[in-house]
Amino acid sequence: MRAAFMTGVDEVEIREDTAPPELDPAGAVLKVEACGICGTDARTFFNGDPKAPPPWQLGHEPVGVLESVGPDAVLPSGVSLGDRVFLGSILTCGTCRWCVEGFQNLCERHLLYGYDPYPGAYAEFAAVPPIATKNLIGLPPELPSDLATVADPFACALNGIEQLDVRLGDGVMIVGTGPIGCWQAVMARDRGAARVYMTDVSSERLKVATDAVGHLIDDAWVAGDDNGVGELMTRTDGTGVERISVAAPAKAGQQAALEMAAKRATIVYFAGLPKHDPISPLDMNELHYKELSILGAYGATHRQYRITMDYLDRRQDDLARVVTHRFPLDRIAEAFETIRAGTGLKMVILP
Amino acid sequence: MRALVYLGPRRMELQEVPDPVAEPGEVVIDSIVSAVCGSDLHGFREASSRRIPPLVMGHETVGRIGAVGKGVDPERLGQRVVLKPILSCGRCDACRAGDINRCLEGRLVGRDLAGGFAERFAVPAPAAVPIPSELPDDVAVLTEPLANAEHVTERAVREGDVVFVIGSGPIGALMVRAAFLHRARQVLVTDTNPERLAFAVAQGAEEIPSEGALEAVTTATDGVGVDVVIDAAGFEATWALGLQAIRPGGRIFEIGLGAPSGMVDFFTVLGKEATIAGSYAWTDQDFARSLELLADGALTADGWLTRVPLAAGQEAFEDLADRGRPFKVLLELG
Repeated sequence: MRAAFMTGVDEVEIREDTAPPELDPAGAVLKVEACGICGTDARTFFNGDPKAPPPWQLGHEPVGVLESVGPDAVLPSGVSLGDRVFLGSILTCGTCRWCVEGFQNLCERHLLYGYDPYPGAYAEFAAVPPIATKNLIGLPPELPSDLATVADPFACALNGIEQLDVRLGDGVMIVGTGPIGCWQAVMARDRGAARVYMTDVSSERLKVATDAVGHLIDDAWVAGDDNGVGELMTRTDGTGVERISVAAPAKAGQQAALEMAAKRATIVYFAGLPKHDPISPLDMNELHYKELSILGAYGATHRQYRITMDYLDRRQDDLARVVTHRFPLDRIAEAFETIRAGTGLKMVILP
Repeated sequence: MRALVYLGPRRMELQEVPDPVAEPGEVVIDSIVSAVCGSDLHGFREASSRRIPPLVMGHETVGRIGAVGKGVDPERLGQRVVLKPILSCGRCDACRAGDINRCLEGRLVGRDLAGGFAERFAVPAPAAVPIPSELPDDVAVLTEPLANAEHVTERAVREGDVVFVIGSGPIGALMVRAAFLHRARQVLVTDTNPERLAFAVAQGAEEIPSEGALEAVTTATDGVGVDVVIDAAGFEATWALGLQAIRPGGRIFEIGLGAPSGMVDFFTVLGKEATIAGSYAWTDQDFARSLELLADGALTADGWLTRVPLAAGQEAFEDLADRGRPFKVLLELG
């Protein structure tokens, strides 16, 4: 079969004669129809990762048809051989306290599909290891496979919005306009936010974002020297907004959110900071005097994945615009270059 | 081995039955004690669609692991355990959200398969939960019923609430304790049986006589009504009492199995903006917390349990069904 291998930092090779994955008696094999490129894939490709020892097959947002199912495999209710499915990439133990309480995103022993020891799905066929069969989610018939690959980041965006708890009539500010920020803007609107604003430090990324979801938001601006605070204050008579999501891995954005917050506002720090530099200087008197709530969000739960499939199906006209590029497998290098250039939002590989 | 077999309404018989075998993934629990639950009693009193004879009931059991099936850690042999009797599929949406009590394929040990009113019974290994060595059998056996109380009060009771518990059986008395653990300000309790009422009062509740209960609640709350009613009886009369006793905006939690249907005054429901919620069993989280609470000594249950040899099971069931006593029966098996 054909598969894409990362053979080193910034190096990719298409191999035509790769052996197809073997069927584990308790696992399954997917015939891959589409596989998204996640920011994590791009970081791995640009910088290398010890969990992706070259030559390594990346790809952890696959949609495909269940080509074969092992005799001992336990599939979720309603999923069977021949179904078109999405594979959620966070592989969970299913037995720790967090798993049994329904917070699979916080599993104490979670692993990531597409990283050692589980090769990914930038290939014609992909193995579903036994630990991953519980992550198979059936697709609504009308939901296109390329759009369904975004279920992973979309579910994470949903987790952030649930933490943010947007109520009818709220003012919502989205800091950072990558795919997550764009989807959260749509979700905030769907939850009845009165005003939805977006800001980003990159005018190019902001342009791409407003092309995708601009018709659903009230206004957007480039963050600039004051990180976008002043523009928001002029639009809210100096009071700020009730709900703020920071969907950018930036300390400046985290501090700006505190200044953008109205009294008693809620802020979700959706994005993490780089692992080597995680400490953020923040004005905690903003927190104190305005009685702010700051929450974190990480990954997504099984319940949120289930909601995601319906959401994507129902709102596909608006949500699909965030998938800006589609590439065949042999042009995967171009996809990585497009990410590097920042001229697109979500890329999908179609093997 | 010996087992107390339910043969039909009001008929229990001590029988010699074959020993169970631990299939792969299972353990055999050698029972030490099994308590009788109100739902077992409900099955004993009248034919129930959920308890089909012949059946070995019993889902509140403490025992030791006497055999392990293939794939189960042999180190567990001899381990003292409490039975966690809900067997859920683990893969439906409810299970994966942590709500194992809502599993559509859920089974209960002692109802859908043979349970703890026998010297031995087999269950999947995760259903046998290890207990701390210093926790006595007579306390650990209350893990399951306390988990029921935890499941209700965790949702029902907020800081400073006035709570009215209707029905003062073991579940009602556990509700009183759990309501205080969830920082209720005041707990009122009523029952038609004064002997049983004493157990709830010992947990710190104020007694409301069953005659003139509504007036007594009104007086006890300065005319305001209670924030929360926990109905551990479940009859038409207690639904009505609960609805009259709550303040506007109050909440009613139903856990009693008294009657399946009847009249409810829905003008009062909407006029008071009442919330009526059902509660069924517990989640893994409730069960784990319940065991922790007992290990921490959070419950003093002096005089609750009356030990009865398995051979006297039929008489014990009759006493419970006809006279509401003793308070809680513990069948001795080990």
